[in-house]
Amino acid sequence: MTQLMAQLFSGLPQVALFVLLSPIVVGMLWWIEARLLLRRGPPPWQLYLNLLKLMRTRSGSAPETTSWVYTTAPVAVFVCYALLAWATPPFDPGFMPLDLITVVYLLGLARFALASAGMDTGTPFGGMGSSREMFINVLAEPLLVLAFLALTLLRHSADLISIFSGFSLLSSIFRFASLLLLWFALAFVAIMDNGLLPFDNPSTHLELTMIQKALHLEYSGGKLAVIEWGEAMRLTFFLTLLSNLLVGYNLPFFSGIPGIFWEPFLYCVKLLVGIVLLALFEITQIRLRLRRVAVPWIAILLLAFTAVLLAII
Amino acid sequence: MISWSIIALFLLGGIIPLLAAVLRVKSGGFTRLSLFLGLAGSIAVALCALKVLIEGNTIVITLGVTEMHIDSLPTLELTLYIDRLAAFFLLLMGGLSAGISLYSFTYLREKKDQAQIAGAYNFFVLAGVLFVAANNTYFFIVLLECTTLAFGALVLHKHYEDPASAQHQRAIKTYLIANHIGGAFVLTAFLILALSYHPVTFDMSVYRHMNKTAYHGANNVIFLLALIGFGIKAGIMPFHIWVPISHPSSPTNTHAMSLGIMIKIALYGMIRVFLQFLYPIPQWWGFTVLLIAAFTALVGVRNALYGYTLKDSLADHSVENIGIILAGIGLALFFSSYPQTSALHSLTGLALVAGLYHLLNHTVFKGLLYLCTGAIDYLTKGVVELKRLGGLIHRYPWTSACFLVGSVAIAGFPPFNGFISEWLTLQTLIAGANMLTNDWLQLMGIVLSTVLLTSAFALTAFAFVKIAGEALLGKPRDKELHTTFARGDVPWLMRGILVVLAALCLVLGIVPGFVISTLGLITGDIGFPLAFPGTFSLWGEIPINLVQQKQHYTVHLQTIILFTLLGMVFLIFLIALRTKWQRRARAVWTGGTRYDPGSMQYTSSIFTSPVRDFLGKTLMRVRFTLFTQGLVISPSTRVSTQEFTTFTSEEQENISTSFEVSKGRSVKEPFREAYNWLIRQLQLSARFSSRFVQNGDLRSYLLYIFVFAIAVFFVFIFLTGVTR
Repeated sequence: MTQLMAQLFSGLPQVALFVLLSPIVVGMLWWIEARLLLRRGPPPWQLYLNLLKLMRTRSGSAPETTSWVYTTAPVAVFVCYALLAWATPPFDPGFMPLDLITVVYLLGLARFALASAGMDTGTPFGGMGSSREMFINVLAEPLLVLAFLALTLLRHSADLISIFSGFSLLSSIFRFASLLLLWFALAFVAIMDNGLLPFDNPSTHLELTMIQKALHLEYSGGKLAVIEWGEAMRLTFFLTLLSNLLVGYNLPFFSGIPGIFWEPFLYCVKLLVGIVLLALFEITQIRLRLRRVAVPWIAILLLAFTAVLLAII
Repeated sequence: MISWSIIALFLLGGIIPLLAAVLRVKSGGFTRLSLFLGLAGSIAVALCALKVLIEGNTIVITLGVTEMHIDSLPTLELTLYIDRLAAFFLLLMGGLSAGISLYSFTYLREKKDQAQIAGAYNFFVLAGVLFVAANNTYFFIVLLECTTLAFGALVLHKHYEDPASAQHQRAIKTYLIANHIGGAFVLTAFLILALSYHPVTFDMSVYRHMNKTAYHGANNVIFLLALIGFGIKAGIMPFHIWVPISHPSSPTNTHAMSLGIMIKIALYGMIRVFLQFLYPIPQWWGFTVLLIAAFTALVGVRNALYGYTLKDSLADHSVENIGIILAGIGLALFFSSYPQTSALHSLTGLALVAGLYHLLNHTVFKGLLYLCTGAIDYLTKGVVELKRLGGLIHRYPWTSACFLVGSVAIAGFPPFNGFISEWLTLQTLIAGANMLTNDWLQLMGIVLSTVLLTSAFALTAFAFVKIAGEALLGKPRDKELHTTFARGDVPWLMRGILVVLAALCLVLGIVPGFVISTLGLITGDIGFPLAFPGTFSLWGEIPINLVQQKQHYTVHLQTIILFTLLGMVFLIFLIALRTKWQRRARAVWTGGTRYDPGSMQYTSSIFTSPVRDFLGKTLMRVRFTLFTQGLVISPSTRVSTQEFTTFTSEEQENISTSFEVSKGRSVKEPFREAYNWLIRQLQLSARFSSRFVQNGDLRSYLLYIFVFAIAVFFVFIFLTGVTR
């Protein structure tokens, strides 16, 4: 128990750092995308300003149709996504109380809460959003578990701590190929889950084309701020996960140097590379019809199956 | 002595209301007396089971021995054998039944034939309890049929209320046909099992001891027959069709008992037969069961998406949970076929624990969901169609909150109980995949079932957003109808039972270590202990550590996450309490038009349309209609389709408005069409045989007898191996 307490005290500041840092990741994504499209764009810290503004708005009123499900869903969203920090803290804490399957269920719980809130508003847009969001979840979950299964075959563990260790120097070329394939599958899930192009357009203004934003429609003030913050943490989680799969925490070049000197630097570089890649990908995409999502999905599912096969060669 | 008094309690509880009905005495007193007797019996059963579970002493009670002695026929003795496995089932039965009896005091008050329901319910529970404890094949089969018949009386209930409705007639017909066919398969399996011993015996203790004199050839036959027989009774994949047809016709309180625990006595039978009576276990058994289980889970949840009443959807969804439990059993069979020393064999206990944990969870949350449905049924005077409900959360906060807890639990989200069993099942699959060496086919099977099961889990979340969202959340969809509903929430007795079950969902989710170690004792009793004894503490992490030469696999479920989420649940509870008094006035955004809750809210057909299109157009290109229409049936031999599995016009109308895939073709039809096709073929072949085989010529009959005798001779030689 004391060991657990010690671990908690070393881990909690990292969770706090993760939570505080996440809005800038989204802000950077917006900014870089705008720059790539030759626009000036909002400053990278824009989401902080948005959140501050929303928090200061009086949000006492809720739509007349809603019940406590609507009011409490943001809490579930925030807590679940903040717990993902346990899966991918910025620096190596020596322990992580999450395994891969729990991560899948945490992501699912946050969606379930928000989708129920969408039904709770009783509007056509709320129902539409929750139906589409849960559909995306139906597609994403098997893919995520399959990719994680391949990952456990490579790493012999489902504890995240034993997965992110050092460089991914694997024993054979097949296993490395497997890692790359499952990385692509996970990247696909990350784009799908975060509601980015080509699956969902986060900057759309037409309600009929919305998926995730349709669930935000009725929210305002502090509740909206909490949800947006939570979703920023989800993006941060996926970027950290994907970069840590290729470059883990303990790099051999830095052995001997105290971690405080290079770990923040390394973390920022990893995130930045991830954001730039994501922005480059997103600006080249157009929105897919919802019913057409199945086509790339099947391709990626086959990719993940191949990753499993390659992992056991 | 105590066993006789329990039996007497239930029997009296069953007979008294029936007597009252025969004598045409109309009084609620008889119903209450009967329910009280049932309650006492259930509590006694639960307490006895708890005692066995804690102490671990197997109880064997001989209730009676027949004096009849015929040569070469074994004696019949009614013996009760209660080991930890049986005690586990008895505890679930007793506990749930006690809750339901209490709940029924209020629920049955306004029913017309309340006395009959209470009486049949007591018989139903008694038959189930004795079945689980029976130690003699003869009584095992008889009690299995008694369970079927007792519930049949309950399925008849809606038929009595509305004798004209073809739907309820079909419910009882389908129920009896399906279950009797299942019973016949089980009977055959057990007869072959009994005959494979020398001398022939019906005593299960003999089967249980690993003194294996059985034919190895017969084991496979017994396995297949028992799988089909128990499979029909449990509603596994190709035979699941009767579950949603029959169950919604029973009163909702007994429906909870039936799908909450009674349908799982078939799984109990499977555990006993496959893991205790048959030996050695070939690898393909577990493999087959696992794949069937994964498909069952997916098909069950797919059908639950299309259900148009609360009772329908939940009945369909039970099929999914049967699949998940069966996946645990299948994995256990699969792993136990490996040599004792391998790490894979040590996973057997874990797989079985995962299955039993899900069984326990399903009893709790499905019981909760059915009792909530019963409460809604009670409040809305029988309206359970999803598209006519909506907005119940404002009027009935307690019932709705409990239903939502059940939904989150059944969708498998932490910190509720469904999470732990789904986590265990997935981890067992992943651990198995990690430990397999160079077994490509097996690995592919495990990967496939992982994907199928995960899809089923994700679809469950989808289905329950739909079910809970449409029935409870939003605004009333039919304003006039809603004025006829009861004003306040259910009475305190029913409310209390719902709250207790909801709390159990939470408790079972946050002390997984305790439950797993207890279930480990049960599986240890039948020979498959948990491989990591003593490591599952009450509060601590749940570790899985496997090492075998080069392969190794570790994972830990940290309970700290569960406690954090428990804190979140409390926070939500507090905010929800505060929300009640909050002023809310803002109108919702509907694109600038006036808000009309009746026409603007999402309905289940549109809600599920993305998944339906995805499953229908992208994945299931196999169209049963092509088969059925492709077969040329000439006009002279065209046989009218019997109503065994077709829709009535009333139902058709209901469906064509909401669940059409394409014009006039409802989504549930492929399975029904497949069954219809089978029936039509059967009728055609009957006609064929009446013309050619059954031709009235004495010589051909003599020929048949001769051919049959020869065939029997060869089968005998084949089975006994007398080849000299």
